[in-house]
This record gives sequence, C-alpha cells and structure tokens, in this order.
Amino acid sequence: MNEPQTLTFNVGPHHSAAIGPFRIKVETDGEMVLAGEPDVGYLHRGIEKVAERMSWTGFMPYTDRVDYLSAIHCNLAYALAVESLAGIAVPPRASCIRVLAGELNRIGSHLLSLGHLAQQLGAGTALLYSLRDREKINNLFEMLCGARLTYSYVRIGGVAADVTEGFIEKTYEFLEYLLPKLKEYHDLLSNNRIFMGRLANVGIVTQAMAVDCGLTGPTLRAAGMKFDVRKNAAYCGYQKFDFNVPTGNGEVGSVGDAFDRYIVRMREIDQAVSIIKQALDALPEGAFSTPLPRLFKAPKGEAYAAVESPRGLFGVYVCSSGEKNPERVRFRTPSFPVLNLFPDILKNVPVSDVATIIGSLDIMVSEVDR
Amino acid sequence: MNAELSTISPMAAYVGSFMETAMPAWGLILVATTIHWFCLVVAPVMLMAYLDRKLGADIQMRIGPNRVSSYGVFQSAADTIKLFFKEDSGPEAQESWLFRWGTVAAIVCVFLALGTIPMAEAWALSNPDSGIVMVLAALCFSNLCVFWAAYSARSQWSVLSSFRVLAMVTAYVVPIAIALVPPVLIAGSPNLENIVRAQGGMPWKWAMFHNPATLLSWATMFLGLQIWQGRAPFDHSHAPGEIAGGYTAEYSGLRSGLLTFLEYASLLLGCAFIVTVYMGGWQTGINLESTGRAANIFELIFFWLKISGLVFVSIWIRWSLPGLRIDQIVNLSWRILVPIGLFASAVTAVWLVVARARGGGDIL
Repeated sequence: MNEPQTLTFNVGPHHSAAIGPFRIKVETDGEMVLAGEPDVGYLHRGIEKVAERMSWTGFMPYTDRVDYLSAIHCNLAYALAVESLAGIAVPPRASCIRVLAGELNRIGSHLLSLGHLAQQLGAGTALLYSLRDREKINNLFEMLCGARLTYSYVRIGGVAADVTEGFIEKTYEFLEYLLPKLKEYHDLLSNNRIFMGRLANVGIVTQAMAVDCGLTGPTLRAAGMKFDVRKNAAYCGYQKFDFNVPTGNGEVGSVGDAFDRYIVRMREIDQAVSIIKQALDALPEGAFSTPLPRLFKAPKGEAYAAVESPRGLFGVYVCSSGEKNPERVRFRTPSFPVLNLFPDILKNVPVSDVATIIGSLDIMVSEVDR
Repeated sequence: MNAELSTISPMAAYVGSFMETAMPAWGLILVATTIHWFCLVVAPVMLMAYLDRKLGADIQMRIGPNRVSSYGVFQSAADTIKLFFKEDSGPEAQESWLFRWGTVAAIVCVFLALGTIPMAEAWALSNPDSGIVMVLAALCFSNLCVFWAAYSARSQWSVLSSFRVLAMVTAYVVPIAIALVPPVLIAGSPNLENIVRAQGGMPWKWAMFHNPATLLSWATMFLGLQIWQGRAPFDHSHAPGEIAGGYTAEYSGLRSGLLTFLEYASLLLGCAFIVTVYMGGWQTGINLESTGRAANIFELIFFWLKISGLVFVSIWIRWSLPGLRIDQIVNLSWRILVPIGLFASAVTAVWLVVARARGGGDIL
C-alpha cells in the first residue's frame, strides 16, 4: 500500500502575496491545500527593545517603522500613551490635525491594500491605478511634514508643525479628485464578475473565528461585528465626527469572505473622505502643540492607548520608571493576531486562493515582526 | 513540376515563379520557409511584443519602452540580443532534455500550424488537405510540450503549473474544435484555402456573419483561443501572484526569451487562425487582377489588418481583467462555451440544409 503523498510548498519568504518577507509552509495534495503554517520573524528589528535605550521623544521616528504604511497611526498611538502617562493636554487644533492626517493615511493604506489584492488576482493595472492615487496622498504628506512614508509628524503633545500654507486647499482638491476615481475602482473591480467570483466565499472568517483569534479592524468588521476603536473608545475627538462603521454583509458570497473584506475597506475610504471634509471644515484655531521641557521625563507609572489603524486596533503600552527613557514599550499590532487564522483558513482551499486570502487579510509584515 | 509543388507548398511555387532558372523543389521550399519564418512570423512576433508592452504601458498609465530608437521600437530586438549573452542557468533538471527542448518543441508546433495558414491567395507554406485538423493538433501538442518542460523541471511550482497546463488543454480544445464545425459546413471542406475561398472580402460575406449562430461560435472560438494562448486573464498556469510564475520561473536567459516568443507566436497563430476560418482570411473584396503577382501583397496587408484588430482586443483584455481561477475557466469552457458551440453548429447545419433546399446556401 502506498501512503498518499503530499507536496510541501514554501509560499515566501519572498512572495508577492505578503507585504514584506513572510513564509507560509503549505502542504498540498494536487490543487488542494491541506494545511498552512505561518513562519514569521524575517523582519524582526527589535524596535521594542530599542525603545528602552531611547529618550521618550527620540523614539518617535522608530514608531514610523512599525507599520510604515500607516505611520501616522503608530506615531499617534505612542503619543497618546505617553500623553496619558504624563498628563499632557493636547490643543484641539492638534487633535483635529491628527485626525486629518490619520484619515489621509488610512485612505493611502487602503488604496495600496486594494491594489495589492488586485495584483494577486492578476489585475496589475488596478495596482498602478491605486498607486497613482496614493501618490497624491504622499504629495500631501510631503507638503505637510516633508516626508512621504515615515512621517514622524505626530509628536508627544501635538504635531510637529502646523499645516503648511495651501495644504487645506490641496486636500480639498484631492478629495474632489478622489471621488470619481473611487467609482473607477468599483467599475474596474467591485462590479467585475471575474473579481467577484474570485473573492466570493473565499477565506471565510466567521465572527466566532475572528473573536477567538483577536482580530480587529476591517477583517473583524467584514465578519459582521461593528467594532471600531474610533467609535467604541474614541480618541482625538472622534466622537465629534459623523461617520459610519461599515460591516460586511455577504453581498456576493457569505459574510466574512474575501469580498467583504475588500468592500469594507472601499467603504472605509468613503467614510474617511467624509471625516477629512469635516475636519477641514471645522479646523479649530490655536496652538498645534504643547511645548515639552527640554529633557522630557514621563512620571513613574504605566499607560496604554489604542487607535484604529487601517489594519485594526493598534495599541501601545508604555511603562516608565521616571527616567529619561521608557522602561518598556510594547506594541499590540493588528496584523499579528491574523496569523492565528492560518491553520483554519488555509484548510481545503485551492492553491489559487492562498494568494487571494493573504492579500485580502492585508497583512503588514513589518508590524507582525516589528 | 510546378503544378505538383503548388499543391504541396503554394508559397514555394510562388517563389519559384520569380526564378529565371529552374530550382529543385526542395530548394524552393527552403527559400520559401526562410522567407515565411523571418518575414511573416518572427518580424510580426517582435512587433507584437513591442505593441503589447507599449499598449499595456498606456493602459497602466506608464510610458513603456522608450530608449531603443524612437519610441523604443527596437526594444524587442535589443532584448533578444541581450538574452543571447545571458547565462543559461536552471535547476538540476537542466540535465533533462525535455526541460531544455520542451519549449522549443512547443514553438515548432506553433510554426508548423502557422505554415498551413494561407496569408494571401495561394500563399500558404504548406497546404494539407485538412489544414484545420493540422492546426488543431498543433494547438493541443504545443501545450503538451509545455507540460513536458514544466513537469521535467522538478520544482514544486513547476509541477503544479504543469498540471494546470494539462487541465487547460481539456478546457480549450473541445470548444475550439466544436467552433470549427460551422465554417467547415459552410465551405464543405476542412482545407484552409477552401474555407477562405468560400468567404468574401466584405464583413457580411465572412463566415462569422453567415447566420446569427455563427457569431456565437466565433465568440466561442475567440475565447477558446484566448485560453490556449495562456495570457492573462487565462494565465493561471503561470500566474505570478498565485504560483510564483510556475514553469516560467525556472527558465533563464535565452530559454526564458523563448517562452516570451512562444507567447506572442501563440497570439499570432490564434488571431491568424480565427481570421482565416471566420473573418474572410486574405480576401479583400477588391478586384486585384490588374496588379498581377503583387496582388498577394495587398491581400497580405488586408490579412494583417484583420489580425491587428484582434491582437489589439487581446492586448486590451490581457491588461484590464483579473485572472480567472482554474475552476472558473473549466466552468466557462464546459458549461458555457461547449453548449453554445454545439447549438451554433446545429443551427448552422439546419440553416444550410434549408437554404440549399431553396437554392441558396452559399455565403449570404
């Protein structure tokens, strides 16, 4: 008797399906995947350890690198944690600018994610379209803070600088530009029969699975659960903004499939556009930052703050012994729990769907490994 | 001798008609083959590779090749020269002659099929009695060669992609074979030359517009050929995102260039084949008697214009649609294309019987 033989593949570490080096050991029988086992650590830089040797303020540029596609949110979570530890009040103008920058960053990240997913399905053209629009966001950020990817714009006590001259007009212009382009994406992808067929009923994450694994963000909302840090534990005055939390409802397949995750991100872009408009309309006057002492020392104690990054709940825990550097900084990143899904989600799926599933989960490896 | 030669190789006979002194038949065939390969196959394939890159770049809002000569027209030639000098490295399986020559064999299949297609009146390199079967065999066999090459590479992704290549063969051959029935019924012959002669130059005299059902079978065949060409959105056998390029990943240097060549030669064959059987082939609809032997050149130009239109559509499809999953392709072919093809064949048969009973029946 011959034992049935299986074939083991290495998806990655360098595979276009994941943003960053990341390996999945996939066991297949013909076209069917029997098991998938993620292997991480290729991008580990020891950022949390680095924090222990840095000054409180000097660590800020490192937080950019935790998730370089949503650097503002990483900055923000760290700043919020330190501010709550040290009891620093943030001027309302700074809060509003933080919301503005964060939502712009969210649009950029979601655009890249949708382009990346489309590329996994062989629609490389959609990726270039999304990069074209993300480029405009990068230009806006360059105008705002001089950097295009790793902004370090949010600082403890406020933001690095006030909005530059012309930034507000340019942002309005960008929003006018973006809305017709979003329709283009829907024509090109969302309403495309092939695209729907590739994503419908693929990689279903049920609400129970999502909660068990600790998922947050669009992946959890696509599973039908209305959880958003901006609503459930509002920060930066998000309670003043009027926006919806889109959830998946299984339009073309079942709730929590890859299409739901995609469409939830698309709808979040719409919501982000509305939030940015509200923030621009009601940008308060005043200072953009609270000055810190020359040598800033957070008082002894610990604090935790969470923000809604494009990938979900991004939390930072800081612990201080009253010195000029943190005693411990710990990031709770939204992509890491996604890896818990893999043993369940990569079971009895065709090989073709592996790339689709990884692409639709929007895993950011730099934040998994940090 | 010439009469005999023109039945075997019309193009060699045409070449012979320019010769002052008599040449042996094999010499004429050799000359005709050389002309055919370099002028009618390799040059257009190079041009199509350039067009694909340039149009694709345009669709993706890029500039595309623009360094080699004006607008980068000689980019394909420059790439070919570069590939000649690259190291021919590969997996251990390079020892296997199937791996080394599989893609070459696939190209030979495509060349053989292209040789049977009349590119102008009496201008096919070879004229077998049932050219349609010859082309169909080449369509199957070329992918069988790719399967050998992919399977013998002995790397995981290659082996997986080799299975997909085989699955694809079952997906496209049947719809294409069924879609070939209406033109054969209309012409009453499986010979490609006769099929073209049964049609006219004007669109309403093409087999494609013979009756409403032939339009459907034309679409069936066009899709079937798209699947055969294995270009996106039907590139699941070597999709870069899904299976890391499949068998294409194992080739380097000139052999990888051959794969690219195979892709465009397949595109050329697919478009040339469907133009021949459904879209009037080299027929121009203009009386070219006064131009003598130069008539062939005009017919060739018409033939190329029709092909260019289809190539443009293929490039457009290739750069705008997401790829299909393998089960979607097989579903498309067996549940949609095959029934439509059978329906179209039946309708055409009934149409012809009724029309011939009423004294008509030729092209409308």
